[in-house]
This record gives sequence, structure tokens and C-alpha cells, in this order.
Amino acid sequence: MKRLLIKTTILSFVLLTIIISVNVIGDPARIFDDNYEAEMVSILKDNYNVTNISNYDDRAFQKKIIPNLPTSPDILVVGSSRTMLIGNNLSDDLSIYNNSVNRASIYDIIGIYQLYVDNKILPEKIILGIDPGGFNDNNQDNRWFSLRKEYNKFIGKNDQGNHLDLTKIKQLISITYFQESIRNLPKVINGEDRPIPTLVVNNLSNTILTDGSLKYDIRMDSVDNQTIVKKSLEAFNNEGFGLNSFTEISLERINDFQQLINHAKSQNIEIELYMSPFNPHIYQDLIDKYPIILEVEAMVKNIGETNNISTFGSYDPTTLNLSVDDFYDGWHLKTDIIMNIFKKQLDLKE
Amino acid sequence: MLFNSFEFALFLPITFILYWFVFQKHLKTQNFFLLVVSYVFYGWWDWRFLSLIAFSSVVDFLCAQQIEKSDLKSHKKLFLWISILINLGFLGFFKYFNFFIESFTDMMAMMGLQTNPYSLNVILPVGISFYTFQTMSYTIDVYRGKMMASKDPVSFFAYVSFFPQLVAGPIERAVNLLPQFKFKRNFSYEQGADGMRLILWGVFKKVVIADNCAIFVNQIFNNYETASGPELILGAVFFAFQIYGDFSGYSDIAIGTAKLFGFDLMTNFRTPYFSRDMAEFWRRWHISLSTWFRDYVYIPLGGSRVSKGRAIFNTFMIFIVSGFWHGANWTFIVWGALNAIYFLPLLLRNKNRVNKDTVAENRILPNFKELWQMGLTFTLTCVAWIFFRAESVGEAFNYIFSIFNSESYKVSGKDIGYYLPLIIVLWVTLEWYGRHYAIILNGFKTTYFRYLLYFVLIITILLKGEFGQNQFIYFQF
Repeated sequence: MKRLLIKTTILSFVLLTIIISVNVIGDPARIFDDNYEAEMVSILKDNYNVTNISNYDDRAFQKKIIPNLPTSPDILVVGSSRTMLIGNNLSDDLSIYNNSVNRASIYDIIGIYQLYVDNKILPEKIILGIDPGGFNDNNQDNRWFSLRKEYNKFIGKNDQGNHLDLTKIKQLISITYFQESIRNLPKVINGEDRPIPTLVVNNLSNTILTDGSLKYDIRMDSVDNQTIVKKSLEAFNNEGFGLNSFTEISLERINDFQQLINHAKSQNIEIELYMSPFNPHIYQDLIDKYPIILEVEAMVKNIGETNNISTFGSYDPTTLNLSVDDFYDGWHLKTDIIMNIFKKQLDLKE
Repeated sequence: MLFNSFEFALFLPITFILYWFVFQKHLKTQNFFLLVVSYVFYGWWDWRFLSLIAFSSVVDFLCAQQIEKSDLKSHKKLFLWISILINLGFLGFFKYFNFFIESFTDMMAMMGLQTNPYSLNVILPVGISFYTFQTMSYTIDVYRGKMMASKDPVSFFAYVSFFPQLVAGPIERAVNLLPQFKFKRNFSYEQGADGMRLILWGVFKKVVIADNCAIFVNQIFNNYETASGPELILGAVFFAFQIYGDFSGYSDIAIGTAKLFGFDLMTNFRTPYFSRDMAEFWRRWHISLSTWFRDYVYIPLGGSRVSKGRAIFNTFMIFIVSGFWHGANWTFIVWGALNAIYFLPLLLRNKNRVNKDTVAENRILPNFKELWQMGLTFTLTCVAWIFFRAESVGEAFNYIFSIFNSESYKVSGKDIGYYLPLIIVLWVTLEWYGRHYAIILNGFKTTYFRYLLYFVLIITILLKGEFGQNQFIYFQF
């Protein structure tokens, strides 16, 4: 017994050490790299755009960038990746800051809002991009946990702030992650995986501009129709819209959302709600599969009416006369199209 | 809980340590501990179905006692039938209810009659086919007087639910496994080392061979209408590797895990793809199920020592029932029937027991005749596997026709890559080298070479293993 235990323990120890070391050093999803987002913020603070960015925790990035904003913006845009492209180029007169995060849930939006409250830089107006999946309790997306402390503070829930991140521990010894990490090692060793400052807007990698908005890799601009259709179908088939098992709108999230609106109103902040359309190639199939999308749209409009706040956009692309080619993929509108929608909305108000 | 999961990686060492260091003093406590951890292991998947195992165990425990107590043959028979009917009743309900209803509806529709029968959304409890057969063998053996009824409910319950082999076998006979619960287990280094070797080899077969093959098999089978002929052939061959790697991998991990706890389970696979005919294949493939059917169905039906007509009937019966055991789908029945067709010529010409030894005994390589025989047997097996894998019998036929009708001969090598064929070659070579041994890795006697092999296997598992929580195929049975 002793012999076998010693051998097995040594082997397990060696293997675990190798796996953990490679996972921490290779770390393609930057799970163990707290500096990455800080590096990005540091570059943006120096008034450079930041490019060569990938796989960072965009919630952690918001936590670091918001306290470093010099002044409160006129308009704040918060939503999912579908509103990330909106920036200062929308208007010459107004300052706009974008704090959108991928797959934003209502919890994320509240967390980001709370960061503005904490730093006393609340804007005059907030445009909230509302995705149907934001009201889905069943998509098991826990990325918002990075903003859990801020969310809990907003809703008045006691939060000690010491959350044991089991996902992190699991990834530390995950063999799947080890396989990805080992592939990423050459990049790490050659120093090719760090954010790069630039004054250029269009780069061969995603770029975050000084106004917080995102500029996609320049190659995305030349995406052809076939690729858009393929990407749309892939997203649809792989449950890529955060809608998995979405059968019921979360009451808790509606209440939280209402609380956010009430707070913003009490601070004299104007709110607008934006619903970003889906690609017409998959919209009907999506509605057939998740008819609840229609309910969410009706609910958002109802919240708007009840609270006397304006809503614009629609999940239905036909209401905006959009075609397949107006999208990068299944649900991300091309920059000029989304800009036009927002400009139209602002013009209406001005 | 899956063997290839993070949970099991924690569960196994904790259970092992508690078993040998905390509960070793008293056999009863140790058995009780095994029972508890086995229920935890199974309940991890769905705790509600623990009641099924418990109920099945209670019924068989009590029935066996009544069978033994009673002097009247009719009484004994009554309790045997109670046990069989309850076990098969559960199996029939959970596994075959909807199949029969749907088949009945289809048949009525073919006759122009519309029916709206009652159907249920029945969840199939994992491993029900395995533990049902295991408990049934116990009452049958007690009835036949092959063993005494157990007086110790804890040992018996632990035997039925013994976690290493609970959900996908080997289907252990009570005669072999139950007595092992009655005697104190002592840890031996050799047994532990054998267990670890089996686990390593099993994990390699599951996560490297089976799960990597599965990626291409799924691609090819899901798009067989557009695949080229060679791709379809490759799909069938890869599926043969997948199902063998998956199922024998599970068995190896199960047997290895049992060894760590001081138990010996029966060998379930003995390099079946090196068989020279279908009879040999069936002596080497899923041995615990084949021998179960042989002992409890085939022989009671008269086996082969009957008239030719009856022998043909018995053969078809055993293979079709075996196919049906795998799942409630016509594809499995056709798969079984096809294997009966393969087997019958050997049986009728009295050649079904020709190849009883291991191929190329005392030789490094097979001769041409053996190579041809193995190739032919493997090809026949692959054809049958197409039915096993397909969603419907029609799809299986279309798949086979498409092999010959395809106008394209292109194989998308880019998708497959170079590593998988290389790993398969390594695997087949190692299996060939260790084919005389129940534990393949024990075929490598030189210590340095064996350690090198461990290293290669571990590195391959780490770098090329698929750890996407893929279920074992046989869980669905």
C-alpha cells in the first residue's frame, strides 16, 4: 500500500504541478492574470487606443476604467456587445462613453451603474441596450459575478466581498484549459499577447477606443454574405444568443431593472432603452424556437411607457428594414447601421 | 458521476483513503461504506432513481431467501418469477414502453388505422439494463442451487450497487462478486498496480481514442448524404474504434477501480478486433453480457445441441434479444439479426469453436491467412456497427448505399489531422503486443519500457484527450 501510495502521490504531484504551471503561465483566457485589464486602462488613460486585445474580463475592465474617467460623460451607453460600437463619433457636441460588456445581463448593467454612483460621475443620460437573454435565469452565464459586489451594493444586499471563485480553481487544474494554455505558451514567451497602445483606429485586431467603444478587427468590415449567413446559423445552432432554456422572464431581474430606473430618475438622469435587432436570416427561426423574445420586447416597451422613458430599435429586423448584409453575424449590426439608428434617435430628441 | 469527470477525480481518492484507512477494521462497516459511496456515485446523476435500485435489491434479496427456504418446487418457481417479472417490468417500463407504443402506432398506421395511444415522457435510468441483469442472475443462480441466498443485506445491496461497475458493467454474476463482500479484503501492491494500469489504459482509450474518433464520427454520420464514399467508410471504421475505446475503456476503468478496493471483476473485452471469425469476436466482445445471455437464455433454450431448425431459431433469438437489450430501437434489433446471420454459417458448419486461442500465438506478426480473416471479421463488424450507430434502419441502409453511390472520393484530411491516425496506430500496436494479457500493459515486461509507455500515455491524454464531459455510450443502455 505504502509503495503504491508514494508512487501515485509523486506522480499526481508532478502532473498537478505541470498542469497548474502551464495553466497559470499560458492562461489564454487570462483567468489568472489580473494585470491585463490594468494594462489596458493604463494605455487608455494616456489617451491611446488599445489594440491586440483578447480574452480579457470586460467586467473587471469596467471596474478599473470607470474610476479613472476624468469627467462624467453626457451620454453613457451600457449594454451588450451589440451596443459596443457606439462612441464619440455619434455626435460632435456630446461626450459619449461606452461601458458595454459581452452578453450583458441586467445584473451587469446594474453593477456598472453602481460604479458610476460610487465614483460620483453619473451622466445626464444613459442609453441601455437590452438583450432578451438579459432576463433569462437559465443561461448559466455567471460572467456578471465580476460585478457582484457592485450589484449587491445597489440592491442593498450584504456582501462581504470574499467570494470563493470555484471556476478559477477548476480552471487551474482543468486539462481542457491545459491544452489551450500549452498552445498559447509560445505567444506568452514571445510577449505577443499583451495589449498595445495605438493612435490608429482600424487595426488587425479588436481595438478599444478612448471613449470605451469597440472597433472590430478591420477584416470584419469586408465580411461577405456567405460568412454572415454561416455565422448566423452557427450561433443559432449552438445556442449562441444567451437564450438557452429561456421560457420565463425573470421576475427578480424585472424588479432589479425597475429599481435601476427609479434610482436613475431620482438622480434626474434621462434613460432610453434600445433593443438591438437580430439578423433577418435567423430571426423567424429564433422566434419559433424562443417565442419569449416577443414577450421581452413587449415588456421592455411596457416598462418604457409606464416609466415615461423612450424606447427605440426592435429585435425584429423587418421593423427597421434591415437585410442580412447589415450585420456582421447573427446579431451584431455593422457600425454604420447602428450609428444611423442611434443618430436617428438622437435627432428625434434634439 | 462520470469516470472522466472532475468530480470522480476527487471522489476516487477520498473514497479510497476512507475505505482503507478508516473503515478497514470491520468488514461490515467497510461494506456499508461501499454501499453508501455507491449510492452517492449513482445519486450524483439523479438521486430519485436510487429508489429503483434499492427496491430491486429488496425484491431480489427477499425472493432469493424465499426460494432457498421453500421445499416446494412450485413455491421456488413462484418467487423466481416474482423476481424476474419485477425486474423485467421495471426494465420494460423505463426502457421499452414508448418503443412498443410507437411501434404499435406505426403498425396501425400502416394498416390505415389511426390510433392515439398514451405515451409517457419516460426518463431512462442510467445503467438499468446492467444492474437488472446482475440482480436477476442472483435469483436465478439461487433457484438453480448454484449459490446460497445471501443473509447479509448490506453485502447484497453493496453487490447490486457496487459503484465501479454499476452503470455500465461488467455485468457481474453474484457467484463471482458477492462472495468477495463476505471476506476481509487485503490490499496487495500488485493488485493496486494492476488497477492503476487498467485505469490509465481505460482513460486513454476513452478520452483519446473514443472521444476524438467521436468528433469525426458525428460529423460524418450527421452529414452522410454529402460525404464521399471513403469518408463514409472512414466514419464506420472510426465508429468501430470509438465504441470499442469507449466501452472497453469504461470496463477497464471499472475493473481497475474495483481492484483498488480489493475486488476482482471479470474481463469484459479481450482484443476483439483481432478475432479471426465472428464466433471468436463474440467470445471477446462484451464478455459479461454474451456469457449472461449464453447461460440464462441460450442454454435454457437448448443451445446448439438441438435440431438445426431449433439451433437457427436459438441463434437468432439470442442475438436479437441481445440487440434489443442495447436499446429500444429497430436499429439494434437489425444489428443483432445481422450478427446472427454472420454467426450462423459457422455454427451450422460446426466451425464456431475453431479459433479459441489467441491469434498468432507465439509469433510476433500474423500470417496472411490470419490477416485476411481478421480483416474480413473487422469489415463485417463495421457494417453491423453502421446499424448500431444510425438513427434509423433506413438511415443505415442509405449510409451503406451512399458508400457505393458517392461520386466523390475525396477525404477531408485537413479535418482529421495527422495525430489521430498516428495515435490509433500506436494504440493498435500496443493492443497487438499485449493481446495475450487481460491487462494489456502487463504485456510489457521491461520496467523502463513500461515506464516510458506510462509517460507516453499520460502525455497523450493530457495533450490530446477530449475532456468535454462526454458520456460513455453504454450509459444509455
